Amino acid sequence: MGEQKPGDLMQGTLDMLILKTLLRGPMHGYAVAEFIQLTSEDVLKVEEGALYPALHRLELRGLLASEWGVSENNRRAKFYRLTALGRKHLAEEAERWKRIATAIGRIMEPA
Amino acid sequence: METNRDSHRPHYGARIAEGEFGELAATLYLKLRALFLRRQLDRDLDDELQFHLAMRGQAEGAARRPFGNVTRIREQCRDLWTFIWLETFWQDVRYGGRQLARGPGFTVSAVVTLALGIGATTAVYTMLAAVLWRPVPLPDPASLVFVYQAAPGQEFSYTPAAIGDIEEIARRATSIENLSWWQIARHSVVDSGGEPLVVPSARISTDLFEMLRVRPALGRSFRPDEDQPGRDRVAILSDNLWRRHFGADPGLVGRTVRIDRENYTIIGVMAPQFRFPASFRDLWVPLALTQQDRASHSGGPVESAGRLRTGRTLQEAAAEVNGIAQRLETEYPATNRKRRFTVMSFRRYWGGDLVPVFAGLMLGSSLVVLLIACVNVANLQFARATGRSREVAVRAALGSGRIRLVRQLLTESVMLAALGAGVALLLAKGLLAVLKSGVPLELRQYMTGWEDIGLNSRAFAFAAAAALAGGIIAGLAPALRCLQIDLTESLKEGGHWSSAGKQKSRWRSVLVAGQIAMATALLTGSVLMAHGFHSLASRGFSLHPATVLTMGLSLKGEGYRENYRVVAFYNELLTRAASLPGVRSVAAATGLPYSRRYPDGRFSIEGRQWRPGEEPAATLEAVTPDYFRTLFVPLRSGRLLSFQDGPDAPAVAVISARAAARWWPGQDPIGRRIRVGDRPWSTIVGVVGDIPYTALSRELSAAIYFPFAQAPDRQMDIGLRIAGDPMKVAPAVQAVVRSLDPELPITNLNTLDTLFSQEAFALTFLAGLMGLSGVLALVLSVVGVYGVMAYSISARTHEIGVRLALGAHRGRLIAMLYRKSIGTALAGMGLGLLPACGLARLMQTVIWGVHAADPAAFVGVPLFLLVGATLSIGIPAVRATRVDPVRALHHE
Repeated sequence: MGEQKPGDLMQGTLDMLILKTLLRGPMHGYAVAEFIQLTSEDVLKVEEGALYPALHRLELRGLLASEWGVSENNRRAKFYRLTALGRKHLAEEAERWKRIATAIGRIMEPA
Repeated sequence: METNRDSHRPHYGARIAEGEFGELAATLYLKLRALFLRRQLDRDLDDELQFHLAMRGQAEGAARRPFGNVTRIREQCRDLWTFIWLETFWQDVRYGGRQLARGPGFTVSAVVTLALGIGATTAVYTMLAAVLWRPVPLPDPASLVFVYQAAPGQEFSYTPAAIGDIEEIARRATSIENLSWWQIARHSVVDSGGEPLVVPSARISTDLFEMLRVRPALGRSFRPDEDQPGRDRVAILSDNLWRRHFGADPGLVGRTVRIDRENYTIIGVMAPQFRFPASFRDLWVPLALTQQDRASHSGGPVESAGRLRTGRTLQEAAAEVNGIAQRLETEYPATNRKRRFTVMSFRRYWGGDLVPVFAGLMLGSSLVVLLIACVNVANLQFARATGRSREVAVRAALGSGRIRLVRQLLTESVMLAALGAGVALLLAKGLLAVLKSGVPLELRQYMTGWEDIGLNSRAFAFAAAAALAGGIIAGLAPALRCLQIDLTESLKEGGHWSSAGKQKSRWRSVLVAGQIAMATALLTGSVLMAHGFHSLASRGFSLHPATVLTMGLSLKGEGYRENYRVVAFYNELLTRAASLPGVRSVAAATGLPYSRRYPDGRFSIEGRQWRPGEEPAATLEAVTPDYFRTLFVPLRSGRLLSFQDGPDAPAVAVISARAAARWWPGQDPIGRRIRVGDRPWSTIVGVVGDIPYTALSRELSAAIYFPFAQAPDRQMDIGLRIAGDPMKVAPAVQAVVRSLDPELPITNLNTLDTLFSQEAFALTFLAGLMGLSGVLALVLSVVGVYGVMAYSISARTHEIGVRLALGAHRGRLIAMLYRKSIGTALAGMGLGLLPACGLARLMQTVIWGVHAADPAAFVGVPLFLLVGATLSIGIPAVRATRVDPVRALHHE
């Protein structure tokens, strides 16, 4: 367990971001990391040491399913996609996240 | 690409994880699949990470960020997919297996030791489980209550009650319903082959089966009116009797069978598992009662049982029944003075009062043996742990968690025990065969569950549990020691635990003391038991029971209506039997010793007054004159009975020494007169020695002997003193009976010795098992103590060498070594005497012949153990001081 750097993500948050990313369709691990980094405009960097354990943990929980397929550059790659359970979980997490973000926002704004 | 499309295979569990299954189910499924597809998992992990690296290499070119430790990420992911505890457990097992294989001497001795303990315990448990915790063959046994007449002042003693009392209780008690009754009996039955046989039977009230909620498997139950004299010639057979002697003929129901020389109609056959009352009956007939019988408060003793009314407790029922007893006391003062009743549960009725105590003693002794075995193995592991301290220290230094190390050592210990359990099951199988063959044939049919005794799943489960517990017990102390190893010291020392030596030897001293304590307690119990059993058996030695042949006869029916015919039959039988070769003398008696006939009764003494129901009670025997000669009963004063004491001669009696001491203390009983009921007064003409009538009862009973000719009885035991083997004469004796009456069944055709063994069987068994446990405990603990002493002294070889080199006196050196160790042994013995005292007191209350303050046990056992301990310490001490000081100094 390394120490927390500014751009690092909490585990629960990373899980949510991965699920959200995969809502767009099946992707391999590299694509997931790239998408998060690009979409966040380089604010969020996903370390491989956090990404793969997170993907496998989500797969083991049945929130993701995986399939081996061929990547855009013709290489064998493992594609992850959201399961029904994953969709449900994402919806719950997103809802929770929204409430917390709003709550934090209310506290921070007036200052 | 088409070819690549073929390589699209769904990853494991994709479908499962898809849908309705919960997260846990998905996890379990995926992990299990991964467990069996381990190689694929590893390859996939590699491929996935390699792909990621390659993609990044393309994207970032030479300017690559550090990826982090690929191996670590892979391991992290891999751990997610595995059952970690299973993996480490498997690692521990493999490592443990290598360790055990490396020290075969240690492994074999530990396995054998544990096998002895586990095997003995498993065999005893299996035996007890089969015999004691046998399935109850009745519906709802918890609501059954049994009512007996209580013997005043004796908690464990109760007798069948008068029918009149039971009728009153049945009528008045509100807490008990359907009170039904029965009498234990024996009937002679002529089977389909024409052979007369005597079977255990019961005369029962016609509503008994209904109360028990059972019905015959074939035919019908008794009707309420079948207890009227005249309508009672109906019988129900057991499945056993029906199969063995009537060829399982379903047409038997409705047919007539000869029972006790009368024609009975068979109306039903019970199911095979039905057993009631007592454990085993072959025949049930109605107990026919007249109005007069039903009203009697002295006659027709019956056992009775009913159902507790819903919501009422056993205590309430007992209180209510004894409230009724108090009212009966005022209503029937002539018979019911001070009469009380015992109300008991089915458990107590079925199991008996002493059986749980016996079972506890047996299982307890074998568990102590197991514990001693565990301590031995613990000590062995300590000794080995010393050699392994370096290995343990290295592992700890390399970052192995201490808890992990403890678990590793415990795993090894449990593996030893598991191996031990495997051997133990073989041992237990053999031991069970021995135990089973030790039970006399005559008793087996009475032991329900007998045929089920064997290594069943329950035995396996027990052995497994014993192994697990034993392994943990044996391994815990040595494993916990690991937590205290000083790393740097151990690594420097190269295999010695010198800095922790004190601590370690304290641990081992505690173990040794505990082991000696357990051995002391168990051995004391064994000696008490053996001694008690011997004094019990020795009461009957004067009878020389091995050369007495016995048999029981019961004359019934028209041919024996008049007394003179009964007397004539027995006289003729005795005359003919006496002339058989090998027969030295022969006699008839109402109840021979150990015949379990208990011809006890009340009598009165001329000139003394007793309130009704409080007259003196004694064993009242009608005997033929040769009885005393046949059983070697010595004459103390006066004369024996003779053939002149016929029916028309003056009535006489002979009494036993105990009877004389009880009722005529300090006086001469000869010339006094006694009588039974309203028979004529009999003058006492002689006093004879005491003989035991029961194997197990606390006191020798006072006996009064009347001449058979003056007090004839139809049911008599015949005793024959034989020169040589009695059973060889048995067929000839049987032939004599047949020649007189071909339909007369013979019971108990056996030696008096066998009758004793049958009666004392449970005790013999207990004594044997406790003896065996005691010997095992002794051997194991002496070996254990010797091992520890030898080890701890050899660990001091260097020190001894120094002392010798400096000129220490050898004798004093031995004395010093001895003093240091004997203290531990003495402490153990002292500790063990405490439980031994408790055990002795318990055994004294339940087993006749055991004296709590038995010097053989309380002086002999400690002395014996002291000698054992002295040898165990002395031999290695002497050997250690014999060594050449120079060699000892080089000793590592």
